[in-house]
Amino acid sequence: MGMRSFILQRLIQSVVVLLGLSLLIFVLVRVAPGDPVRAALGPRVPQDVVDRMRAEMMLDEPYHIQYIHWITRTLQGDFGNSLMTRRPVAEDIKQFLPATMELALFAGVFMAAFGILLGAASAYRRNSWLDNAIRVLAYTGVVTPAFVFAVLFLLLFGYYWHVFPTAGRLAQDMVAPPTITGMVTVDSLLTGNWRAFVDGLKHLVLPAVALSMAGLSQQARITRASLVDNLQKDFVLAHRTYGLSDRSIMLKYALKPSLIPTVSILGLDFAALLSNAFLVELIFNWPGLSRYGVNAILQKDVNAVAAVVMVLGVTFVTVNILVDIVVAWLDPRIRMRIANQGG
Amino acid sequence: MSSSETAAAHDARALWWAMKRDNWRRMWYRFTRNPLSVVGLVIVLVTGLAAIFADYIAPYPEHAGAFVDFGNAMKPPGGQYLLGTDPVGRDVLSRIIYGYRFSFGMAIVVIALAAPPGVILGLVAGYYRGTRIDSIIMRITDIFLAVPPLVLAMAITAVLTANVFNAMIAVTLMWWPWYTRLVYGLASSLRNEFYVQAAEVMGASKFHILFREILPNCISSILTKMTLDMGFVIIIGSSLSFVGLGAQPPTPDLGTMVADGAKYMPDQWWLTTFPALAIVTVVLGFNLLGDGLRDVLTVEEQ
Amino acid sequence: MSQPLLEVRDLSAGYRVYKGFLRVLDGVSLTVRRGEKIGLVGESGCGKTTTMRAILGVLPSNGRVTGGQVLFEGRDLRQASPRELQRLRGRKLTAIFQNPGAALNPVFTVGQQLDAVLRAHHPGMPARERRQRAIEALASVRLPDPERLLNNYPVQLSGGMKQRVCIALALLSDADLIIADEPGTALDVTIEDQVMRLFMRLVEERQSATIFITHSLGVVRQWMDRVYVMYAGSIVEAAPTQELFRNPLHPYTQALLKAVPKLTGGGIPKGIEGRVPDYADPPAGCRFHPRCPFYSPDRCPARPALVDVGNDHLVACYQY
Repeated sequence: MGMRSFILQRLIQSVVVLLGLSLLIFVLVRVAPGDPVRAALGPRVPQDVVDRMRAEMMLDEPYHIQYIHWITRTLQGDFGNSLMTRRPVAEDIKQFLPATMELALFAGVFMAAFGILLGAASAYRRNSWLDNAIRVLAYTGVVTPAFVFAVLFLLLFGYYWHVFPTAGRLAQDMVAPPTITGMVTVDSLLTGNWRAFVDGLKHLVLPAVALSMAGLSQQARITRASLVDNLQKDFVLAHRTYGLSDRSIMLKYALKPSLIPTVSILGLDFAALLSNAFLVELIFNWPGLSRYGVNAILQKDVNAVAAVVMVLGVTFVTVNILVDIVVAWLDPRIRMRIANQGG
Repeated sequence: MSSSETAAAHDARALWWAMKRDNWRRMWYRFTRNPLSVVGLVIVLVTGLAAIFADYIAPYPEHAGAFVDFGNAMKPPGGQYLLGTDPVGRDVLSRIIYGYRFSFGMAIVVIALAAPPGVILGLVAGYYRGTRIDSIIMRITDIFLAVPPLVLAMAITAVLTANVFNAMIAVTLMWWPWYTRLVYGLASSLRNEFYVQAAEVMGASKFHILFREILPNCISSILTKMTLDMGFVIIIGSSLSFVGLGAQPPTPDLGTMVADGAKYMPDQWWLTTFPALAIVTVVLGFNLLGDGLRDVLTVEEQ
Repeated sequence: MSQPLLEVRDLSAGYRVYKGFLRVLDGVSLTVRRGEKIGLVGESGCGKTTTMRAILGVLPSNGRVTGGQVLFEGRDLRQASPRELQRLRGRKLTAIFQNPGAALNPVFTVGQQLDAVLRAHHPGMPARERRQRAIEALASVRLPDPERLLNNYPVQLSGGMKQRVCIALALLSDADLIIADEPGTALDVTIEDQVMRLFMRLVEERQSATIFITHSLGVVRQWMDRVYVMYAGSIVEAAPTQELFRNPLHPYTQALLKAVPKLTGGGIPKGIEGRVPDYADPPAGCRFHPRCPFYSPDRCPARPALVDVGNDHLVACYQY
């Protein structure tokens, strides 16, 4: 009832937002001054090649026709040809997206799990050395840009401790598992290739940690703050008065309400994570969508840029819907509000 | 108008100022109780002053530009060059100080451009919550928030030419919605306060209600956010430069310095380490200061 | 005479805050016999709630008990292990909190919260029986449709219903002592009265003892056996209800009784001059002395002790 209409409402809202985003991107890549084709191909390419490309992208039509044409094709999964590789952008995306998804998922799970764990540990051992250590770590995580972490890891692990590899997704002498999902760890698990799985996992560690530090720290800080706040509340004192064990209060009755603010900002932290992927993939030579995107941006490959931004937009919007559902699941007050609003 | 009335008004004004002064003194006292806040303030002041007076403070101001002195290239820290020199012989310390000038400049410009429209839109949408104005403004905000921030900034910079000016525009374009969101939440709850409703009953103009009744009560949250954002804009700016989409050489920029220096690791470690530390330090400063401000201002409100 | 159920001796407690340590409780002593109904009265901010929390051992994290004993059936709760305390709480002594809106966990259903208490005290009880017990508990506080209520969240209930749920939670087991902190003050007067009647009936049925914290002298006079009057963190007077209302001895009690508005007229009641002292820097000696009309430095050299003046009447004042 309430929940289903809530999800439906969120989906419709998201479609509107994505349409708006497509318009924004369109304005960005097509209406910007100058000839995008000439800018991408460089001055030495003959005029007839440029003209053919312009015709293909319908650049000489009025803007609204161009937009309708572009959005229809985009909805069909056709992002046009890349101006630099001349391949269909959709194929490039198919090739590079799984690597980014693997990294982002791994980093996202790591971020949420450790953020909450550290925050809770910090709150329960308030003012102990553990609490202080976690708070210093969380502060460091918030104020340090992802690329600084990445460069630091590169230095430490690349030159001094050879515990984790610092480049690529698999060791050079390792045979890649057949592509099923495109995620190395998942594919190797599916094919039972244990060695490739472990190696893939090892390659994930450094980029994932570098990616998740900012969000992890934010999560830890918010979890700590809201737990400390809730532990003072009357209902926790009441639980104790009625004889519930401290353990069950900490792990369940105080933790659940405290997770609401933490989960609410999970979406934002995931956005920060996708942003930082642009830097981290570059540094760890991770063959993902973000590295592809950076190159597209530097080369002014407008079709590829539009596609990458659109794909990331869809990803982010999906994550936000999921986050909203989890928050509604955690917080009955939100569910009530939804039930009262929509029938 | 009798003179006794003016005297009374004068007294009232004097009293008001005295209370104001007293408030400030108490807030300052609370602020200084927390050593971390003071550390934050000191960091911000020292780095900010260094940025402003870079020409007088930097040991080699001419090294900020396209200066070349191969004879002194790659000098390790110490002696004549406190933090060492880069591959073309420029003083790292001087370039960090000028890098601060750029970082601060960018952060100030971005926030000065992004906050006012964001705040105004948030005020309007929050006050007219539930109406069409609200949904139009907030949907537009959602669109800008639908892309991970750095991605949008990079896309914008890419389409325009990669330079400092366009980087600022790009970051500004993605930054205003956060202020709209913040103020929207505050305004939509403040509009139910008695003093706002009283002003409405007395027939005050919408302008008066928005800017004289609601806005003053959002100021402390906005100020806190602006302070914290100084740090985060510096991170975004240096990230853009790190990829090559921000400041272009030879402009000294901390992100560019880290990126360039990374090629010379681990032997010439000072090329990356010091600029990286410089970023972390200033962002830490703004964070500590912002948290301190928040503590003082929220206590003051209660 | 048999051993009292609860004996609090010289209990001191306070809170750490930014301006230092607030010494809120300054040597509170009180005795509760089995089945006895005690009223604890005083102005807001005099330490009633702190007394309750200190007895139960659930002070907020910046609070600390600094001295004294809490003897429950002869055993000092301050020396008890956390495990022992946990077993006692909810089973032998329990409490009802002031604000029912804040005392219920917002993200668990009424059923889940009742169930958690039952599981804590009856580890072997099957789920079906726990559910039955929960329904009975809700029915005993006269809540309509208890089965449906089990699946409701606190946010779906009215204030009066929440307060009844709180009472149900506290009375899930037959506790020997129920400390009630002004239940109902957050509610409408009519509902407050209903809740009060319900609560007292349940207490009497179970023959539990209660410490009823309130600032309403009317409630005390109507329901309680014995009254403790509290001022600024200590007990200033204690007597059987009739005795206290007939013959108030402490100047604070006298002022308190005069401050009650009467329905029968008699003009505007007199307030008490002055205010509750600053706990960071409480007045030396008798804490009431800055507001006391009988104070003189020669007569009141230190903090007066509670003395028995006969008729089971105790008072802490140098006049007696």
